[in-house]
Amino acid sequence: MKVVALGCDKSGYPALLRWGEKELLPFEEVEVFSIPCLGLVTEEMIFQILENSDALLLAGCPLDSCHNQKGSRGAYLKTKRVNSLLQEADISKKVAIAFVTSGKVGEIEKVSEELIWREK
Amino acid sequence: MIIAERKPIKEIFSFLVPGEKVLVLGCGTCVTVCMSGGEKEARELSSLLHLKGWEAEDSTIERQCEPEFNLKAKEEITHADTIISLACGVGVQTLAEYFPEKKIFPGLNTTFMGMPKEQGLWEERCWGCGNCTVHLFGYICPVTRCAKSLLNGPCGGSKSGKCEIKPDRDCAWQLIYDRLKKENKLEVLYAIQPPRDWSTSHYGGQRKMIREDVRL
Amino acid sequence: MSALQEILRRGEFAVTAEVGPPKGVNREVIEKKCDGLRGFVDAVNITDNQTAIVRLSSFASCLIAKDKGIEPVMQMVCRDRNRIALQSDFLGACAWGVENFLCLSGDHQSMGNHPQSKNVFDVDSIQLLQILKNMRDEKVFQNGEPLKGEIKAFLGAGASPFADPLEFRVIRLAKKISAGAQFIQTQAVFDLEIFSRFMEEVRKAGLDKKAAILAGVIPVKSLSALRYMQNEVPGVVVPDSLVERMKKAKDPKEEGVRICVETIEQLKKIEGVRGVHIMAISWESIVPEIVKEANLYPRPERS
Repeated sequence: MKVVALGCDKSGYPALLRWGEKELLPFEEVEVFSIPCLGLVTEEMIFQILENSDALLLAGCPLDSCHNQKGSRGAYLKTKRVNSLLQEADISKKVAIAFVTSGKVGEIEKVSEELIWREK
Repeated sequence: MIIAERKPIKEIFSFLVPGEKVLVLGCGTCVTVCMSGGEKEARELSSLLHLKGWEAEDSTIERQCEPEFNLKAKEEITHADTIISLACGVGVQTLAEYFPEKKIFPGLNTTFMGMPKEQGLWEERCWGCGNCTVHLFGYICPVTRCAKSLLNGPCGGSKSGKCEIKPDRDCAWQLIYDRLKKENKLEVLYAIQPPRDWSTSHYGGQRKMIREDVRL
Repeated sequence: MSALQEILRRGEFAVTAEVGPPKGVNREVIEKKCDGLRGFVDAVNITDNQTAIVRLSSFASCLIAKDKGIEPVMQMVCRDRNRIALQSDFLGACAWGVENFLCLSGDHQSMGNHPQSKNVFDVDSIQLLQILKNMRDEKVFQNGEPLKGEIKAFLGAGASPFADPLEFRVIRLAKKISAGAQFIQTQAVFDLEIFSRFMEEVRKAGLDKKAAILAGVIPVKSLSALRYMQNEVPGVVVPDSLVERMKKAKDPKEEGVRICVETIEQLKKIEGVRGVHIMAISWESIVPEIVKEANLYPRPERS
């Protein structure tokens, strides 16, 4: 399973790196990128990424403490919308979003398991 | 504006034959504003088609209901085998009238003329009956907003301001009453509204507007 | 002049009941209901696809009732017919000797068993009253063209004293009466307090002098039926005290009859109430007992 992961500079990306330091990741291939804030993620971008991967994992600040206030909230709503479109179209790809602080990777683990679970 | 909602994606898929080139054609006016058939939605649909294995492109023109905008997109339109139009019913028909050789399918269900009431909520306001009398009813059109188009007051199904047929719909007559009461104009309601002349509406057959002064 | 009109004109307290036609062609259903009611009511209302459920037509059922010697009140709703069909059926019914007509808007089709259907609502109940009145008095159709022959028609309308907006209800009644309603049958009364207040307003507006108001009553068989009335039927208000009373009742059917009879006794005392309309929906057989208990039997003879 090929996964693309996008993390925001403030929280998501550092957490993704820490998660990547683990010896066993649950996916065959993970590409990690940093972006300034999840608020920059658009539906169009999500679809483009999904063209060449099985899933997209977004990691950003918690909803109530997003560095840019509404970035995580916006990404969360877009994630929901894209997932519902994918589901309606019977496409097994998906997007997941994890709200993290830079040091904690537990949430990413949980969400990535969710991706695998949904894959089945 | 004209309000429309996207058809279920599977219904749209069912129009298409595997392997054909698909163009999703959005419209930049009403359906963009009501977030069902604009550039964003056209792109999303073409992305989904892509993910499903179709060769799909998207394009959005300013007003699909006007021939000249459709003709501007001629190249993209002729290039595709099938077009999913994300315009209202007017747009789909205009497109089909000017590209009669194309396979065209509606991607939206056109629902009503209405207004955005709040983010994510649109409400019907006008029926296009051809004889506007909203000023008699506190600017709340009973033809459109009363489920029975009653012109002389509420039926017995008005409860706590809501219509009996759908409990989340306001009773138009409660709104009319409240507004006229506030304006101290209740006496307007004492007059009996005579039967309407529906010939100006859809019931008089397809309508046309001819303006000799602007014809070329 | 219809018997109902005559009785009301003489100032006698009128009694009408409701008869719902069957979902099929068995005329015996109507005949049986009529046989049970004969002598206990002055006229029967034949409903017109009530609650938007398809039934044997009101027009045909009225003729069956007439065959059985019962005077019908033909209900006409605006949901299914435009002004062409309504006027035509009115002429047809008049030609067959139907003399009482009740003009209603009609329940919306989404409440019934063909919710996918189109509705008509070309005219509303008030406009229909006006049209029928002009056909009778001015001998003209709605479009102003003349019609031939004498029409004897006693025109009625419904009234919903308990529906919102409450303050509008008297205005609407006044409009119905000025449009041509000579008698009024109200939605079922359970809450006498609200109804008394409504009647007070009606009297203040002088409407009780212009039309004969028949108060509606519904005998209920059970607590659940009463609760249904309280919660689900728009335009019906059931006070909690009645629900409590029904809860305590050993024999709910008997209690339902008693409540209905007591309501009628109270209604008789309200100035301006000229009769009762008993809507014993699918319990028509109870009507004679209620009429007797309420001291409304025997019914007055026609002169």
